[in-house]
Amino acid sequence: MIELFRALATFTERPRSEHARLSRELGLPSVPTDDEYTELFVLQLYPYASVYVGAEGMLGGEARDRIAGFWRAIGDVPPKEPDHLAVLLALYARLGELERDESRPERATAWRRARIAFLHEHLLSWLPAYLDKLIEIAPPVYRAWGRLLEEALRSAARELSGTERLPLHLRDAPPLASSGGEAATNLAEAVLVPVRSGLIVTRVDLSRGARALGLGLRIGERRFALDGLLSQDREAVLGWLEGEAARWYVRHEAMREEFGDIAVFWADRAGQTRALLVRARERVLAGAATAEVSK
Amino acid sequence: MTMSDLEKLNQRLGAARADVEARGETFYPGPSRIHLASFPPKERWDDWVELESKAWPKKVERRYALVPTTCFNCESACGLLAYVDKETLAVRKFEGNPEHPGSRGRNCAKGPATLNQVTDPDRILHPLKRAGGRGEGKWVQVSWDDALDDLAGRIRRAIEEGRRNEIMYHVGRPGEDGFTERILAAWGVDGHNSHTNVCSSSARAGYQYWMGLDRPSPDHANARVILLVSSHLETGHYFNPHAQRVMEAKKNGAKLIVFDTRLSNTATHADHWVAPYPGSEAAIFLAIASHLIRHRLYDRDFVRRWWNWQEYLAAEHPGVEPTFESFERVLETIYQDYTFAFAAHEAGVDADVLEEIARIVATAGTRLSTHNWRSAGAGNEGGWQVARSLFLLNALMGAVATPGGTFPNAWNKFVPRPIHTPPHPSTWNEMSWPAEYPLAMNELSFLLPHFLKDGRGKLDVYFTRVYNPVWTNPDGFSWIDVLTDESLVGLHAALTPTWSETAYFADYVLPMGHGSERHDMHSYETHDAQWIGFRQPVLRAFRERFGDTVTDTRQVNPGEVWEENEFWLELTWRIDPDGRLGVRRYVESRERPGTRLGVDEYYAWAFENSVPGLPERARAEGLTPLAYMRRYGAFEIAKGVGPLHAQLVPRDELDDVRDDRFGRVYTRVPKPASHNIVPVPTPVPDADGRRPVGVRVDGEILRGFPTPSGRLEFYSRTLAEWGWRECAIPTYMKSHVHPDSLAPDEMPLISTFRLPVHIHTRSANAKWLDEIAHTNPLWLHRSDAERLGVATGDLVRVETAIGHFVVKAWVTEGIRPGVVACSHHMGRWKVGDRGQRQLMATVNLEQRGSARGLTRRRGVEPYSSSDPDTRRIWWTDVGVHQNLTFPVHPDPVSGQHCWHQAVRVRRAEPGDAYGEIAVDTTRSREVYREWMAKTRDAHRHSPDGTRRPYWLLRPLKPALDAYRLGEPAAPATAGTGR
Repeated sequence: MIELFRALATFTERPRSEHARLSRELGLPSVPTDDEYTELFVLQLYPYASVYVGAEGMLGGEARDRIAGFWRAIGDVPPKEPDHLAVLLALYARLGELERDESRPERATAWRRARIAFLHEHLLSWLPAYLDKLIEIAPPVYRAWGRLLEEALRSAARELSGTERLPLHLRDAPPLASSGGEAATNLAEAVLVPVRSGLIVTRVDLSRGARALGLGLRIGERRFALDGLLSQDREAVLGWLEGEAARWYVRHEAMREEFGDIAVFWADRAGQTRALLVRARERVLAGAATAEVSK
Repeated sequence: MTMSDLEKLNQRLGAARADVEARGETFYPGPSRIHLASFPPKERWDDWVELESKAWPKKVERRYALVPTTCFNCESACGLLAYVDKETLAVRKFEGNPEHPGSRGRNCAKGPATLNQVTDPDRILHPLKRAGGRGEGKWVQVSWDDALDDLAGRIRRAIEEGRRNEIMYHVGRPGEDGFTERILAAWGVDGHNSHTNVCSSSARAGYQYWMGLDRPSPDHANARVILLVSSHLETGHYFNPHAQRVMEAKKNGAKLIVFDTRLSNTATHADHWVAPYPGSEAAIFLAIASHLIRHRLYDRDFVRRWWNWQEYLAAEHPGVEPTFESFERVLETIYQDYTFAFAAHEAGVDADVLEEIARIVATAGTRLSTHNWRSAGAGNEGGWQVARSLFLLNALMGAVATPGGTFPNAWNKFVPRPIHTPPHPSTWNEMSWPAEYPLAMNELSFLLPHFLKDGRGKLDVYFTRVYNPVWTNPDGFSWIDVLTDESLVGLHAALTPTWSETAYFADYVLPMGHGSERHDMHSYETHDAQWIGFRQPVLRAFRERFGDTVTDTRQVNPGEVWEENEFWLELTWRIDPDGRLGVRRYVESRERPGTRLGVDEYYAWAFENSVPGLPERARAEGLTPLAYMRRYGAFEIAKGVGPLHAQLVPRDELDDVRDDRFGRVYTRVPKPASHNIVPVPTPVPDADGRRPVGVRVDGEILRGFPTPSGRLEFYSRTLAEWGWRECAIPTYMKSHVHPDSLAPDEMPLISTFRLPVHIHTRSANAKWLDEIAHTNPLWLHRSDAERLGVATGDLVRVETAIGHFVVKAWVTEGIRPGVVACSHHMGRWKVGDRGQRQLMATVNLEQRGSARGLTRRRGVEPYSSSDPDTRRIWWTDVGVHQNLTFPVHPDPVSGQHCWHQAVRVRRAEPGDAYGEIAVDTTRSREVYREWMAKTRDAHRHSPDGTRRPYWLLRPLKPALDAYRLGEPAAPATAGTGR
């Protein structure tokens, strides 16, 4: 699937003229446009692994370093953004190519082992959830692309039996309840860190929530927008988030068969988040101080 | 979607990609973060947009056309892409050309610095003619027409008056493979002289006596063990194509072993860095060989099939039964004394370390890539045995022309047959090829001043071409002597892009273009493939791409800067304007008879007729072959060439076949014409005139190697027959700097290493490179520094056999104790104002009888020019010109100058000034005579009355008749002295 992964990789970059040919070959319903690309990858679903598996839910940090470490481990110099989805998929394709072109069996086996580890650690650790969300909110062309990539990942996961242990990104991820500090606000912020909360909450989701609750959405980054919502009706927003967590629990559970322990990890996180949110909401309702929630 | 649906999609994409890329288009989107090395896609080379860096933070777009050429700053000719600004029509920057098979889009610092050379405010823009005395520094601007007519007239007279040997062309950096050799052949002149005997001749000799071809092509990328005798190639020369492949192999787990007395850049990447005593390298390799032989760790079948062991037994052990088993017994005894203990004693390296390296070599199998170019080969008397004993390891392991092994260069090189090929000249030039050196690999170029002083002849027209012997060669004061003597050198024309120490002593200084301002076609043995690269004036290609017609490169170059190929074509046309001399026809157009050949027709012909696959490839893109090369700059003809020696000779080449007693096979069928005219040795026909066509191996007739025996020559009959029987097999010869030859207070000085970012003469005004490297201190080990009482930065006096120089010390652990080193890349100077002001000190030259001196008036300083950066020069020190204090050391076999010096180092005396040079030229004459006395003259040693074995390579090969020895010339070595 070398060529397929390589072709799919290019779609997480700004559309160029060559994408017309690639879209046709992949059977996508149209050619992505610049505004579709910007809306999806610049504003909604940042295509960087560190956002989804990093303890801060932000670009860079230890998660990116771990991916850079993989490059070093295979004797290569990491590129500037080693955790960008385009780079990850291209590297996966490259590892397959190295294995295919290697004449010495022992080295070919080593490349295969590297590819299994890479798939397990840096792709399967977050992409199923990411793509699930993407398919939900993307325009048709990217939705079709996301489905293809999801299929390709499933097939790769079937082909390369994974290791027993949970990926390091996930083993290392601190649970939601350890955030400390200012309770409800911090809890709500921690909800925006996917690997801790088990949820992927985009701007689209926040605006959907605001509409459903009849609240005003302040334009800005997600934390700012969520703070704005909480300040208007804390109890309702926590309730809405509770519903989101419940839905994510179900979504992750549905992937259990294909992605095993990784899906279980994500489902557990969503479940725990839901429980915390329930408790937080109860406290708000009880007018109690919120300091305990995040302890 | 099922698995097979995905697989089908995958296959469809693969097929689409192959299809698109076969049309020369890019399938995937261009530069982006998914490509590890990203380049503008080829389809956008006509119109490439980048943001203007100087407009930051505003986003101002600039449009470029990307035009390929090749770098001219070392031999390897890596690909460059010139970014031509479509608004200003100026080259804005140079980056790598991803289409170039050798460099693959990567460059070293010297490539992008081409821009500095092009925009150098001190470069020479117009033809200049001397106004005062030679070397006085007075010049007038002249027209190209006047210069050409003057030169052509003198050359014509010399030809008409039978003084062909008074015309000489002396080249530093070669441009196009064979171009100028063919021009000289067209004139009927044996006047080619090269820098090679101060460079790689000894290494070449070591390789040629083994495999016929004089240059290795190691397949580093696929090696398991890489063994380098470093200091030159992998850090300075072929640096980029080889370095990237060495690193590729290392990533795949290869072991890198580097032999270098000094911690070179390559050594810093080694798994094993060995710093042997200079000149002991061959002893080490023979000890490794002895280990492989003793423990039967070599490829016995390869040795049996491919070595000329039968010839060796017959010549040297006639009483021994001629079987391979007897040879193996003999082989073991030959090298039994080369123990690790012996090598350790010679090299001053622990025997355990050497044994460990031998064990690693033994694990390489046929994936052993090895290389020596300068370094130990160029440093030592007998240095040619370094390459010969190094290649012995390949020959033992069978690592010859295997993946990861070492190839003969001609198999990885392609020189397209040109439109005209003039015949071999019928003259022999004794000034370049004297009878004392019948086996010299190349011209005895660095002895020219001494030969002129000996009265062996004189020169009427002498061209130096991107060549700076006054600075580059040893004994520069002797060069100044002869270049200023008009009775010895009638007219000296320096063809050079920049001022040099030699150009000051010229009659004409003729400006020639840099890598983006000239045409050359070339091919180098960077890996197991055959490719051609195309150097071109990028503004000419740019204008033609957008519909203009350019008929002369001067129309697009700065000032009146020209290119050599057009210059030589025009000069040749003017030498013989009416065709009476029979010269003109070799530069005549075929499309328009009666007119001069132009470079467009010249290259169009070669690309259409002599490069297999190129016309088809070009047609697929709707281009002519020339337009294709102008657009992409390179073409790969073949890759994975493999073991050509093991190919069966086709039946149609076999007729009236005869075998000699060792299995050399001869045929009546003439050699089929080939598109590839890469220089290959010419083993001689049998007594009945049959051509050697192959070699019989286990009953089959295989191509073999271009040696007299057709096999790998463990034993060189040539060396044995021409007076050097004692070193006809790989042997250790003690160097002239061996401890036995040194006084107790003398140390060897290593001077052969480059600074990897510099380019000999031409980089002096490459400001980016100058800022990185601009001086050459004396490397001194801490223990020696303590003994001498010297600290880093202190002045020391280094005394050679003919004088001394004063330099700063650099105390380091990066060199073997008891040895000092100083790079030859620095110490540039100028007498007056003209010159490269960023890296040339201003000096006085002094003379009192034979006592000569150079003293520094001032270093470099900031200055105003068209480039504001020249006001920002912060360095003043530009190093010391040590080569002036080196006498000539011609190796008696290879003819190579043996660079290492026996020196005394001490603290500078009161009054000694940095950069000061003192030389006694009487003493330099004496040293010349001492070395000439080591030679074995063809008049006494030729086995067949010829001057030189005909089969050996020679850059410009005269006709067979010219090889016959005449009467001995005037007393060869005695000389009258001047």
